Parts: sequence; C-alpha cells; structure tokens
Amino acid sequence: MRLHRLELTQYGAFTGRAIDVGPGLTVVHGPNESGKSTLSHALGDLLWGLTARSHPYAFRVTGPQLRITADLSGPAAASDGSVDDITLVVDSRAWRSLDGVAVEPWWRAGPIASREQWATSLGLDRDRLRSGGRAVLAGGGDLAPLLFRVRSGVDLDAARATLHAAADKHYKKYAGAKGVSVRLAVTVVDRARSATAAATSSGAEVARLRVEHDGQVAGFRAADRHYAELRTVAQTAEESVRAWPPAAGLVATRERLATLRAGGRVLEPPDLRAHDDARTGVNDLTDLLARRDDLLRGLDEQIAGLEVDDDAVALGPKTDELRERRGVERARAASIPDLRAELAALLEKIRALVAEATPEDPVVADPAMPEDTIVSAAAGLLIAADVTDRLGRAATHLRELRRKVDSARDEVETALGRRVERSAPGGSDTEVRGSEGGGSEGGGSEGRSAASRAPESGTTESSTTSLEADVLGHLTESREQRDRAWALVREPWLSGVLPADGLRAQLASEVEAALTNADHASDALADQAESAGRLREADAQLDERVSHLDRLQHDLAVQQSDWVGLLIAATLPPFLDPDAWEVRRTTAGELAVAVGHHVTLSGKLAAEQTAVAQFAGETREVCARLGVVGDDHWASLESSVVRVDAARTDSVKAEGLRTQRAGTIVERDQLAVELAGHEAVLARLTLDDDLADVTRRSHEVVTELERERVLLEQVRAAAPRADVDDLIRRVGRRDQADLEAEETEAKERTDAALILRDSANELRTTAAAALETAQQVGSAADLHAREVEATELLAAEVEEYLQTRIMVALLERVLAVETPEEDNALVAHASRLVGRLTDGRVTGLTVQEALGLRRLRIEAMGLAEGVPAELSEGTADQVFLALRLAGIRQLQERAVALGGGTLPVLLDDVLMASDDARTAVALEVILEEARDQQILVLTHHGAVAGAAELLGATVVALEPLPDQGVEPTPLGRPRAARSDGAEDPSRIREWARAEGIVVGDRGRIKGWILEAYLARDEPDVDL
Amino acid sequence: MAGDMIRIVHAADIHLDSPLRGLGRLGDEDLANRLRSATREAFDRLIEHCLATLPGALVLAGDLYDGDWKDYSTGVHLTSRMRDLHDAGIPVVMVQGNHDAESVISLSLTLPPNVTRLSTARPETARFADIGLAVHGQGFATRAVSTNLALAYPPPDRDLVNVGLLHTSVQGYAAHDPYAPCSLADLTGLGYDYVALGHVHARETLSAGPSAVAFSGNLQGRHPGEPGAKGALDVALRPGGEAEITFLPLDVARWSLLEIDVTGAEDEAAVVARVEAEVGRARESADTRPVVARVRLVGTSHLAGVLADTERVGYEIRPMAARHAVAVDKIRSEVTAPADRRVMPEAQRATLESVLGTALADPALLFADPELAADLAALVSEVNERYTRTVGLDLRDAQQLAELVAEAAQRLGAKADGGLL
Repeated sequence: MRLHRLELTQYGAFTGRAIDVGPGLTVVHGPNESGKSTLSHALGDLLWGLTARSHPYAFRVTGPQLRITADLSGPAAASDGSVDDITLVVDSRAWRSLDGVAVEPWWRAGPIASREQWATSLGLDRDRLRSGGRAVLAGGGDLAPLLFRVRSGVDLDAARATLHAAADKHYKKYAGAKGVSVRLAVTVVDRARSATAAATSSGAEVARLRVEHDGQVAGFRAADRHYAELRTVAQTAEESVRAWPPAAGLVATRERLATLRAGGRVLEPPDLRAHDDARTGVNDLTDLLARRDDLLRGLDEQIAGLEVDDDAVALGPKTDELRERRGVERARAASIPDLRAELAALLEKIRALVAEATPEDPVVADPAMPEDTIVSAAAGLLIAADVTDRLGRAATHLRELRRKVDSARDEVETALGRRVERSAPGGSDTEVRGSEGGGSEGGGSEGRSAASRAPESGTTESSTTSLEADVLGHLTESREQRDRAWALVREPWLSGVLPADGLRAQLASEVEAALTNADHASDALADQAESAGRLREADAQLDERVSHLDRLQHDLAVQQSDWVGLLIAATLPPFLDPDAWEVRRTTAGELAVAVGHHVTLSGKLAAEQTAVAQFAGETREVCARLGVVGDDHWASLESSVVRVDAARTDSVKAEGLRTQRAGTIVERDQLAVELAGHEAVLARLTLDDDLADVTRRSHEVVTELERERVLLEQVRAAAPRADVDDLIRRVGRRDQADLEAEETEAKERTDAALILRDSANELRTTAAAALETAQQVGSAADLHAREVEATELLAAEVEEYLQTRIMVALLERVLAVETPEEDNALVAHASRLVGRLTDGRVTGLTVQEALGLRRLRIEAMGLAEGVPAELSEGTADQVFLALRLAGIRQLQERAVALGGGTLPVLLDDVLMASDDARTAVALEVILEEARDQQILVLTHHGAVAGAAELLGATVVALEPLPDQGVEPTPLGRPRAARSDGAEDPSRIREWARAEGIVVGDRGRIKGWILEAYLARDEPDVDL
Repeated sequence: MAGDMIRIVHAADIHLDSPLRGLGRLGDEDLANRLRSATREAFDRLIEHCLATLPGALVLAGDLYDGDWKDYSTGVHLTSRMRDLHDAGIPVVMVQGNHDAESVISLSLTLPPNVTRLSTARPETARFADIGLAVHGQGFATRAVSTNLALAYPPPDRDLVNVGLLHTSVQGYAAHDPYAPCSLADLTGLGYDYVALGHVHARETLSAGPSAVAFSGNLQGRHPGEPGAKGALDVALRPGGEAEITFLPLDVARWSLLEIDVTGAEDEAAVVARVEAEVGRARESADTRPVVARVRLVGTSHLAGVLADTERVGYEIRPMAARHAVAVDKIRSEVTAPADRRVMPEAQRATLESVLGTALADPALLFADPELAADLAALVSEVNERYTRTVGLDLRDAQQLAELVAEAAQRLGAKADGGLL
C-alpha cells in the first residue's frame, strides 16, 4: 500500500493536523513534543486498527471519538478497477471509506500479520540501532542470531542467554555450584530423609523390645505370685503365734467345764438365774414386810393422838372472806367523818346563797334551822330553765325599750329647748309653754302625769317659763308617784302580807294612775302649743317627738306589765327589775349545783354508814360462834383468824397420816404376794439332791462358759481370717516356742521373695520404658510427610530447570536452522550499503563458513581478522543499520512477492546530526532504499531535515501546538520519552522484573529486553 | 433378626496418616498443617459417623494403611478408635490390600475384639448371627497379588445378608495396578447381596440391584489427581433385596482441577476474574472444607506470553484464591497467541514452529544434543533416585521427558508470540 496523506482528524491533542507523505523518503522534522510520537502511533492505528479501550491518545476525546483520515492507494484498492486511490476514515469501529462503506485492510494479508511484527521488523529507532550495534560487536560474527535479529527485530541470542542464566540458577552440573536451587532442595530432602530415618524405629527392634518386655512382665508376675503365696504362709504363722495364748486357755477351760458337768446336776442358766433371784427375793422381802408392819403401828398411834376443831374448820371460808374484806371496810369507816365535814360545809354554802336570794326571809338566817328546812328552802329558790329563758329575753327587751324611751325623752327636751329659743324675741307664753311641753320626754309617763296635773294645780299659763317649769314639775311628780307606788306594794309583799294577785292589781292601778297623770301633763302642753301660732313649726316638730315618746312609753308600759306578769308566774318577787333578776338568776344557778351536790353526798354518807354497820355485825356473829367475845370487832376478827388457821393445820396433818397408812397396807400386801412367788420358784427347783450344791456347781459352769467366750473372741481377733475351730485344733495343744520358730522362718522366706519381686518389677519397668521410647521416637509420620513435601519441591525445581534448559536447547535449534541463499543475498545487499554508511571504513561484508559455522566477515581497513569486535561503536551501529535495511528490503520484497505490497517503514532518530556530511550520505542511502518503498524518518535535528530537503526528499515540518507546550501523559500509562535515546535504565530494569524477566542490577541491559521494553504497549508503539 | 434390614458402612483406601501431595507448594503453612492430618481426620469422621448412626457393621476393603507405620502413633490412634466402636457395639471387618499387605506391615498393635481381620491365606467368613450378617473376604498376603481371589470366595449363607469384601482392580480399571484381578461377572456371580471393593480411589457403583458391587473410593483425596468429594458408602441391605447405597462425604479437604479458557480475555485482570469464577464454584461445592486447586489455563489470547510466566501469574491468582479460602498448588498455562497479535514475524515464527514441532515429534532427538544430554545425565545421577520413589517423577522415563518438552515448547512459543524473547 502507499500512503499519501495522514490526518489526525481527532487524535491526541490534535484536530485536523495532516501531513503529506511522499512516495519514497519522507523526513518528518519537529522539536520534541511537536507530535512525532503521536504521528507514528496514528500510523500504527491506521495500519492495524484503533482500539478505543485504554487508548493512550484518548485524553482530549474519548476512545470511540478518536479518528484518523488517510489518503492511500495500493494493489487491493485498485483491484476492482474502479478506484486507485481511497480516502479511509479509521476509528474504533473499523476502516471505512468517506461515504461510510467498510473497507477491508488489504495490506494485512501480507507476511506481516500484526502491529507488533510491523513495529519490530519494519521499524528501527535509535535505541535498537545502538543495541544492534553492540550485538554486532559482541556476537563474534555469529551469523544466525544476527540475521534473525535484522529480519525480525527479535534478539534470540539474548533470549537464549537469559534462559540459560535462569536454568543455571536452578542447576549446574559443575559440582562446585552449591547454590543452585536444585542442590539446595536436594539438601533439604536429604536432611528431611535422614530425620525421618532417625525417627523411624525399625520394626525388628520394637518387636525384640516387645518380646523382652513381655518376658519381663511374665517374670514379674511369677515373682509376684510366689511372693503372695509365701506372704500367706507367713501371715498364717504369725496368726498362729498371736492366737496361741487364748487358744491354749480355751482348751483348758473346756476341760474344766467337762469336769464340772460330770460332778452332778447343773442348773441351766435361766433356772440358775431364777434360783438366784428367788433366793435373794425371799431374804429381802421378809425383811421389808417386817418393816411395813412397824410403820403401820406407828401411824395408828399418831392418828389416834390428833384432835381436830371441826367447827373452826367449817367457819374457815367465812373467816377468810371477812379477812379479805377487812382492809376495804377499814377505809370505808375512816371516810365517814370526811363526808360529814364536807356536807356541813355545803350546807353553809346553801344557807348563804338562800340568804343572798331571800335576804328578807328570816327563816334562813336562823342557825338552828334544821338541815332539811334549809335545803327545801333552797329548792324553792330554784328557777325552771324555760322560765329563765323567757325572763332573760323579756329583760333584754325591757332594757332596750327603756334605753329608747330615754333617748326619745332627750330628743323632746332638745326640741323644747329649740322652741324656747325661737319664742324668746317676741315669744308668747303659749309658744314657750308648748315648746317646753313637747320637749319633755325624759320623764315618760311621769312627765305626762305631771303635765296633766298642771292645770289642776292652777299654774299660770301666761308665763312661758313658769309653764315649762310646771310641766317639768308634773313629770317629776309622776316619777315620784310611781316610785311611791312601788314602795307601797313592796313592803307588804316582802313581808308576805300582800298576796301576789292583790299586789299586782294594786300596783297596776297605781301605775295606771301615774300614767293618767302624765297624759294630762302632756295634753296641757299640747294645748298650749296649739295656742301659740307663731311657734307652729317648732310645735310640729315637738309634736312629732312627743308622739314618738308616747308610743315608746306605751310600749314600755306594756312590756313592764308583761315583765311583772312573768315574775309573778315564776313566783318571783314582782318588783325585781331586770338587773336584780340577773343577780337572782346567778344565785339560783349556784344553788342548783350546791343542792345537787348535797343530795349526792348525803346518799353516799348513808350508804357508807350502812356498810360499816353490816360488816361489824357479820364479824360479831362469826366471832361469837367461835367463842371470841370483845367490843372491838376488829380485834375479835384477828383472834378468830388465828383459831381457824390452827384448826386447819391439824386437819391436814390427820388426813396425811391416814393416806400414808392406806398406802402402806397396799405395799405390805404386794410384798407378801411377791414373797409367795419366790418361794414357789425355790420349791420348783428343789429336788432330792442338795440345791445349794447344785447352784454352786452351776455358778462355776457359768464362769467357765464366760471365760470360753472371751477366749474365743481373743482367738478371732488374733486371726480374723482363719477358721477358729481349725486354728484351735492346730494351735491349742502346740508348744509356743515351736510356733514362734515357724513364724520366724516363714517371714525370712517372704522377705527374700519380696526382694525378688521388686527386682523383677524394675526389669519390667525398664523394658516398658525401652519399648515406649522405641515406639515413640519423634513423630516419624510427620517427618515423613515433610520429607515428601520437600521432595515435591525438589521435583518442581527439577522440572523448572529442565523446562528452561529444554527451551535453551530449542532456541539453539532455531538458530541452527540455515537459509544460506537468503542469508547470502541479505549480506550482499548490506555489503553494498555499508561502505557509504561507514564513510568507507568498512568496505564489505561477507559470509564465512568454517567448521560448520557461518560467520559474518567484515572487510575493513586495518581489520586483520575481519572480526566485528574490532570495530568502533559508531561503525558497528552503521554495520547493523546496513544489515537492517537489507533485512527490511528482503521482507518487503517477500511481501510484494506474496501479493501484499510494501508497508511504510519507520526510522525514528537513527541518523546522527553531529556530522552533516555523514548524515547526508546516510540519508542518500536511505533515499535510495526508498525508491520502491515508503520510508518515514522522524528527527528533531534541523540538519537532517535540511539535508533531506537538499536531496529532494519530502520534508514535513511539525510545529508544537501553541497551547500544547507539553504533550499530556495519557491516563494510567507512564510513558518514557522515547525518541531521544535517553531511557532510564532503572526504569527498564523495573519493567523487566515486573514482566518476569531476569535482569541484573548493573551493567549492560540486554538488547532484546530493551527492545521488548520499547515495544511494551501494543497500542503505544513509537517507531 | 434374619430378614430384617441391615445397614453397613463401607470404606476403603483410607491410607491412614499418609502424607498428602503438593503441600510444600501451597505456601500456606497453616493449611498445610491441617492437610497433613487430613487422612486421620477423615478417618475420625468415619468413626464419628458410625458412632452417631450405629450401623450393623463397618467393613474396610483394604489399604487401611499406606504402608508400614512410620511410628506407633498411627496404630495407637487406630486402636483407640476401634475401641470406641467396640464400646458402641459396632463390629468391624477388614481385609488387607496391597499397601497394607501382610508382608508389608511389620508393626502391629493388638486390636479390640470387635475387629475381625479376614485371613490372607484363604477366603474367610465373619458371621454375625445376631444381626443376620455374613462377611466373606480374603486379604493380601503380599503387595502384589496377581491371582483372582474372588473365584475362591464361598457361596452365600442362606438366611443371612451376604457381603463380599475384596481389594481388587476389576478389569477395565487399567489406571490402577492390576492386583487380584477379576471381572465384574466374577463378583456379581458370587450371589452376595453386596460386594464392597477397595483399591480404585474413584467412587463407582459397578453394579446396582440385588448383587450390587461398588468401589467406595478413598476416604480422602490425597493429591490433585483425586479431585472432588470423597468418603464412604452407607449401604442398606435386605436378604435378596436391592442394596440402597448412599454416599457419605467424609473428606476434610478437597482437591480441585480448574481448567479456565481465557480466550477473549482483554487483560490479565479478566483472566484472574475468570479464574476467580471457577475458584468460587470449587469453593461452593466443598462447603467449608479447605480446597486445594490446580489451575490450567487454556484457549487463545494475546496474553499467552505473559501467562506463560506462571510464577508471576501465581502472584495474581494465589492471593485472590486465598480470599476464597482456596489454595492453589500449581498453575499451568497452555494458552496460545492469536496470529494477529504475534510479535515475531511470520518467517521466523514459522522457523520456531518447525523446530518445536520436530522436538515434540521426537523428544529423544532433542536429548541427543550432547550438551543437554550431559546436563540431564548429571541431573539424573544427582537427584533422580531421591524422588523417583516418593513423588513418581522419573527422568529416565521417555514419556515424562516428552511431557517436559511439550510444556517447554508451549512456554517458548507463548513467549515468542508475546514478544518476551
């Protein structure tokens, strides 16, 4: 294919930037960051497709928005005959024509199938040129790797070396290489294996120890059995010795028993016990019976000697009662004088109160007056409660009315005074008189009486002053008349001469008369007022006051009359005025209390006196019956009590003696019965032999039997496990010394057996421990597992070594594949270029065959052996460039032959600018190579561009974008500056390690690593 | 009791206390420690199951031990657990297999009376009249028994449930050493109600129905070649009836083979995600057991070169798997690069391909290279004896060498395609 124009429609920082590409050599010149790298990447995208995802130039637009437009032509474009040239739009979707029709990228049918292949085989940059130059120098002329490299860009030799180094790390057959991983793993395996072996006890050893252990166990068991047997024998002997004394005694006892039983009748133990009990009983009971009889006799005598005063005993309860009441009665008798004194005082108080209430009554004042009289007089002075209430209310009313009448009278007097004042200048008698008469209120009815009496006494009406005095005189007179009336009736009433009804009538008529008198006086005043015309106004006022006074006085008279009526109804003195009534009422209250108290005290005194008399009577009666006589019944009572107590004591004593006697008789009878029982037993046991002899023998037998029992217990205690009868048989008649000798011997034999048993046990324990140790040496199973694991790791190391080693061998095979004709053709073409590229320092390149190896021979002046190592670095680089250009040519020719056509070649900064002349010569060579293929040279050296221009090559000058001082670093991908040949070695090493490539910390970095590094990002290839 | 249903538990190939393979590569010492006791723990679970469900009998069809005990702890543990069964009244009948044949085992401890070890000299029958069960069987006297033992087994006892017990490789299971070979017809022809087999570690019911024949498989997978659930069989039997066989998963750890196709994966993260999905499935199927997985990456991807460096890929995959409580013992990549992403130009790639093809076709030719042959010879003399017996890798074995060459060629191709050469 042939590229005419490449446009970065939307790509990286650029929009619509385009370059025209010449048919042969095109030199793209621009300073750093002017877009050369962008351009070369875009060229890769055009040829091999644009992947949107993570695209390094998708920083201004998104991946899917990236777009390249290119004008190109080629065999396939022209194959349908319709078009020769085509404009392609490339984006993430596909290659399309301008009208959107999909276009198949025909150039991909050629021998270069991928972007990576294009980059390595049709691209060269300064670093790879330098690396290639070094390979020429270091390769010793070995042709195969060198040509593989110039054809493919792949440094197989370095790859082989790397793999070899990797294999060497795993294993080297040189025995001195101890550090290789296989040998280290072997060491681990061997160590694990010997640990397992040491830990694993052999089966035979364990079996042997087991047999030995079992034998020792059997031996121990036998020794143990033997010891146990002997120990039993020794224990038996020991028991015999211990049991001998009681056993021997037992034998003797049993012999004695036999002798006793042969001597005659022997009572059986129950009979013997019955006999003994009966015999004792008879002796004891006979004695007891005798003593009971003596006791009975004594009791009878005592009972006969006692005389009991039964009467005194019978009076005992009554005497006790009196004795108990004694204290109360004494107190009662003592209280009587006090009561009497209190009554006397009370009577005096009553007497005083009655006298106070009726001072007129001479009866009361008489000191000799009997008590009853005084009291009944007092009772007569008491006032009933309802009367007290009514009189209280009437007294209050009466007092109120009197106060009002007094007040009205004062008003009348005032009004009269005022009338006198008014009549004074031209006053007439009438005026003055009327005025005075109307004002007289204080006198009440008396005033009116006085006034009414005035005309009768002939008082002169012509003088006002005299009239007034007249009226006042009438009033005074009527008051006095009333007082006289009171005095008149009071005396006879008090003296009891005037009966109440008469008194009342008389008093009423007297009062009526006084009132009539007052009315007359009042009327006279009124008449005088009427006759005094000029005093009319004052008179009217006076009239009003007077009439008011009249009403009040009338009410007062009525009330006064009611009051007297009430007093009379209550049998009270009718002249009592309300204040005196109050005093009277108080006295009556006190009298009521005193009279009540008097009645109570009198009753109490009477009762006390009666009780005292009764007690005395009862006491005298009891004492008389006891024969105690005396005036003082108190003293008699004391004597009687003494008598009664003595009689009682005698009575109790006699009763006790009688009870004792009865009890004794019962006891005596019981003892007699018991005695008879014992005698019956003795009679039963008595046969024709001597019972005393029989019982004595029987007692001896019992003693021996008890001894036998005790001895048997001792035997059992001495030999708890032994059969007693057997033991007694064996031991009872033996000699003690013999037995002791046997025991000693048995013990000695047992001790010996014990020693044997202990040593057998020790052997058994030792054997068990040995077996245990043999069985449990380490955890052999675990160690074995670890040994297997170690072996597996060794196997893994071995596998890895062998695989790596096989890879080395395979690479060597690849390099051994020979294509002599093509190789020769390539070297021949390079030979034609190298002279000019090296400025004549190298005159030619040939292939030399020796010892089956094909080598590159360099013909150069002063190069005796033709060995590349003698070249300078710069010359070596140019030799490599020549070979590389020849390789590229061969590849392009092959592509053409396959019908795919050539592809653009990218040379990035491979021309030095230090020597313009040499640069020009090199450019000339490249220009010639570009006659039938497109070669793009990227450079930042102005001199290169200038030389190219002079040679007639297409030159494209790139300017940095005004706002694009620094090309942005694509997201997530640190990008080293590529074209300057200033790669940071540490970064390359870092990258190589991350990729799993073994690389040293210093020294030269292998060319193939460098190349792989430069080509590391497929979509980011810079050429 | 005759005529009633009898339940037995059938287990085989317990290989008690034998080491598990691949633990050293796990890099997880805690897990390795747990797995080291896996066969014993699985055995304990078998015993616990019996104690909990009280079967009529426990039958063990050989290879109870992996070989002679390394120490007595194995025997002590076995005796103690058999004592537990004795106390629970559960009889145990066992035959010896090739691994624990009479001649192989030199150490022993006295087993409690409920354990019957059938004779290795002739077929023997253990009868349990109280439950109506007869167990017929014969153990291995030596490691390699090449005769058909089944032919001499006695006819069934009438009125009893008859169970045969045999350690054998039934014909058709060539992957295992052909010990005590017999045909399925030999076994079904015995007329027993059930024949409990041992030796083949994969569980399989060879014949169902009235004359059932089954391998219980081993109790616990011991290496990556024994993936999936392992355990014993609970067999319900009735005279003349059909055996009801229920699998009891008693293993305490699982091995798992994960094959992951990475075709289409954009980057390494996508590859790890696909592995994670598989790891998750393995995790799920194993309940709470530890899982040890072997990862095999296949398919076509431009990542072939990167993935060929399995050590590095392991650093991505292992921590991820550890988060799922899955340990990865080995990772292998067989991923190839697609043609349009290869770095090495076609001509050179073709050369490489041709060299690899030649080597794969005849690995011996490659080893004829004097330098490689010398290296290999030195290696063989130095290490081969040390592990041939233990881990089964033999560098003198052409087949194994061919496998190494194949893997190396695959890796080399992937590296070339990935531009890593």
